[in-house]
Amino acid sequence: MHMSCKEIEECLSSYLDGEILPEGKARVEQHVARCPACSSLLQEWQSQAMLLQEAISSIPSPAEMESHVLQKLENIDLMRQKGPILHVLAVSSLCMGLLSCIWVLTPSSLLLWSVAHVSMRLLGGLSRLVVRLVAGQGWMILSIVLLAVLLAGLSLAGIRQILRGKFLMEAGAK
Amino acid sequence: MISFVEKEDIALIRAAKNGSSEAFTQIVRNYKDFIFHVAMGILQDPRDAEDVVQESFVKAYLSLHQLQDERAFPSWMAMIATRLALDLYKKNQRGRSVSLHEGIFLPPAAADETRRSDLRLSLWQALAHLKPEHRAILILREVQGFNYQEISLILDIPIGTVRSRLHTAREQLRRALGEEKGGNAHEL
Repeated sequence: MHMSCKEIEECLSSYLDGEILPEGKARVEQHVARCPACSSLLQEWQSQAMLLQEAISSIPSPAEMESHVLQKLENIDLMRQKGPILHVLAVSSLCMGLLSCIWVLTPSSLLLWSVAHVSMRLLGGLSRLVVRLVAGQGWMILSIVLLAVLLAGLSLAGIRQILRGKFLMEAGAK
Repeated sequence: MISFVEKEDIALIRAAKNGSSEAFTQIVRNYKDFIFHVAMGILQDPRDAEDVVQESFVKAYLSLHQLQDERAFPSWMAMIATRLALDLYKKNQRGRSVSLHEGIFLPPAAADETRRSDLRLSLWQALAHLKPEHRAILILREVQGFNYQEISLILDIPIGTVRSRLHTAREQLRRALGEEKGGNAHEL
């Protein structure tokens, strides 16, 4: 069975790439041997393939490209090394922050209990005790609050570092 | 052409998978030109192509453990680079609208081979007429020598589409090359 030029043209690309069954290959070869138009098309595709390979392969890659790639990989290694240290720092800061919050809350509740107690006493006329209690516990509460703020700030800074590291890794991966 | 893996490269890939930075450095040296040419063929801009090379190696470095078969490394790298290049092309197209020949990088040519370099120039300009998907498939087949099965995996398209897209790309390049040769002959 003879194939038309249109049918052959559809198989020509696969023939050129060796991605055709032996039966189809024989048909294409028979047709090309007696059809100057298809033979010429095949030659044109072959020569443009060679030219394309030549043109692309002859383009030199930028001189600094390799060092830029290696620098990026080095940065990733650095982030990987720093990662666990930052993680430990953030987790420990967070734990300390939580402990300090509990620490702050416990005296506060004690104070509240004291206030309630004093109020009851106040009703009984012992107003001096209120002044003593507030003056005595106030400084302690203030120092604990300051410590809690400091530790919370530290833990936030640690978390920020970790997130920044993750962001850099992801940005690098994209 | 780098569509097959040398034995030494397989050893390097295995070592890199086990955490050797030195092995990966050697892989970068061995494959940088291959990735650059894939990206360059699609984007036709050396700066953009270099960006794709950098991103491709970073991505490969971070996900090398996912590569099951070391022999598939070239097609795996080509897949990463091709997808990044096509994404970058789309991103660039959204931000600018340039005329066809404006800003296109022209590959250097030796002074002693004028006719051949004229042909290369025409081909390079003709390539710019093609869609990036058509440029990609031509580079993967004609320059890097991947077979249809590999191209199908790299571009995530069925083999039938590889066949028809390659046919269309070749024919469009032939026509564009004919026009460019005519145009350049008039200019000369």
